[in-house]
Amino acid sequence: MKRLSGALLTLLLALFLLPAVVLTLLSFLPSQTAQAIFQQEPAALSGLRLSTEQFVRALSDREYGRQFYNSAMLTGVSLALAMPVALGAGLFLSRLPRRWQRALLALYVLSLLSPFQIIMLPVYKLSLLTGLYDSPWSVILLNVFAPIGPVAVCMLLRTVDDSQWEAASLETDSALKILRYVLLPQITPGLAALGLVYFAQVWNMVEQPLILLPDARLRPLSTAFNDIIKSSTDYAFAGALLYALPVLAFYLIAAAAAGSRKKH
Amino acid sequence: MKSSKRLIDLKLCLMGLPAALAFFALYIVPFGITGWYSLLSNSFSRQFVGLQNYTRVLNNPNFRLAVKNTLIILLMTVGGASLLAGLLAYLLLRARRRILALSILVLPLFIPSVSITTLWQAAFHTSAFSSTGSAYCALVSLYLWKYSGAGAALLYAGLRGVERDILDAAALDGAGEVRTYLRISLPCVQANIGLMLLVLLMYAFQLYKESYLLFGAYPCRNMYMIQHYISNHFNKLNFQNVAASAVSLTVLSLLLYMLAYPLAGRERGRA
Repeated sequence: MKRLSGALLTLLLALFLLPAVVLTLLSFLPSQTAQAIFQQEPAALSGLRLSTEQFVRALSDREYGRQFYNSAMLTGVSLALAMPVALGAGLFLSRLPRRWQRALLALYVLSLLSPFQIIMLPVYKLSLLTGLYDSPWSVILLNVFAPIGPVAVCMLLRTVDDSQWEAASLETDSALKILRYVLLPQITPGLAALGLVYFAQVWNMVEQPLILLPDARLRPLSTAFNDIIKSSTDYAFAGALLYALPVLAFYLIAAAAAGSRKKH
Repeated sequence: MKSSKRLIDLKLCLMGLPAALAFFALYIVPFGITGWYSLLSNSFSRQFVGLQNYTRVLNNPNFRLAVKNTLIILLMTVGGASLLAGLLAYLLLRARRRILALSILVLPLFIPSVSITTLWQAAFHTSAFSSTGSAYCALVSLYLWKYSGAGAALLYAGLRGVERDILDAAALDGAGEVRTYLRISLPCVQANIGLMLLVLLMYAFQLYKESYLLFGAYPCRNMYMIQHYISNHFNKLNFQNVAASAVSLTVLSLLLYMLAYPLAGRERGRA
């Protein structure tokens, strides 16, 4: 039974890895060969050879480069601002009396569970009112104040024992010192995981830029990629793989760091 | 000592208050504004019309089609992912390299949708004119691949804590591994099952992103969801329809979340 379980798990894990592996392999084929494979043309298999042609085309396409830069800029700025905001709002939530905390957490969780279309219209109106429509800041601010961060930080802070709060409050009445020397060291691994989730969320966003950034030149690659490859499919697979690399790198570094922390 | 702790709590609250207020302005207040817009005739006259917009939207055949499709897609995606997550969690309990296996299962969550839909588009030849069968296969398989690993991780986290004594007692009574898993382990982790269902529902409601990347703004008839209806009416500047259908979507999502929430609130070990 154990052997059967092991074999079945291995098969399922292989299936989970398969799309990423296939995408990588297709990226290293000439674009016509890669496309022909999906058109089920047997002649395509005779032209199989490894090539970096798709990568060269993707990296030399100015539009791809500009949209990739937009993604990096939106994600970088959002992440840099979101983490302190999440920490602040999480602190606020965690120090409230229990009844208030439950009520506010319920609101945070409700907005976390709701699709963007529910608040799409008023967010659009608000961006027009504030002059942020068609500005990257409309998308950045929406991600900076997203509910996932404060909920995660509040949960992390609730793992810190009350006795530690009390002991710290005896030593000092500086909230910043308590935050820096007592709280942050204990929740840093959780904050790192939260950073990874934020990164993936912003890097992957599609709907917000579609509504708030009508100028296609300002949009991130996650929104613009489909339009780019419609006009030219010369580097569809390599372009897709290049876009996945930053978040995958972040994930692998975080997984390796978590693994080495467990060993120690 | 108490006054010192209260002072620190107050300072920490004040530090975070601006961030909390900004969240309210960007996420909670818009909920209310959406509801208010849904009761007005239009953005210019702002005449209160009660439930007229809702009557128009709910009687709209496209909206009804969207609701039907959304429910079918939710059932297929969340149902399928829950079953697959249950199987994966069972297999993880018996695996040797669990950390590696978990890392592989959770990896799809971090691969950008736009990257992987490029492959799905080529494999399933998706477009606005896709046949019903291939459209369902494409969307459901993408969802299962991307999110069932996260469901398995949530379930596995709970199953790890099931007391060994209970499982040993079941084994002594002659229960097999599968029966023990279904009749004893899973009932002990109802809170985790509830949380898994909530998370899978959340991802299913966000499936519009993958659907848009696969099929465009106007997909084939069976892929047309409530989110498509809202987005398309937004692009036509039909804001009252947008507001009324957004509130309807909120109600639908709340009803579905309330089905899973009682499980998530259960105490550990209570069957």
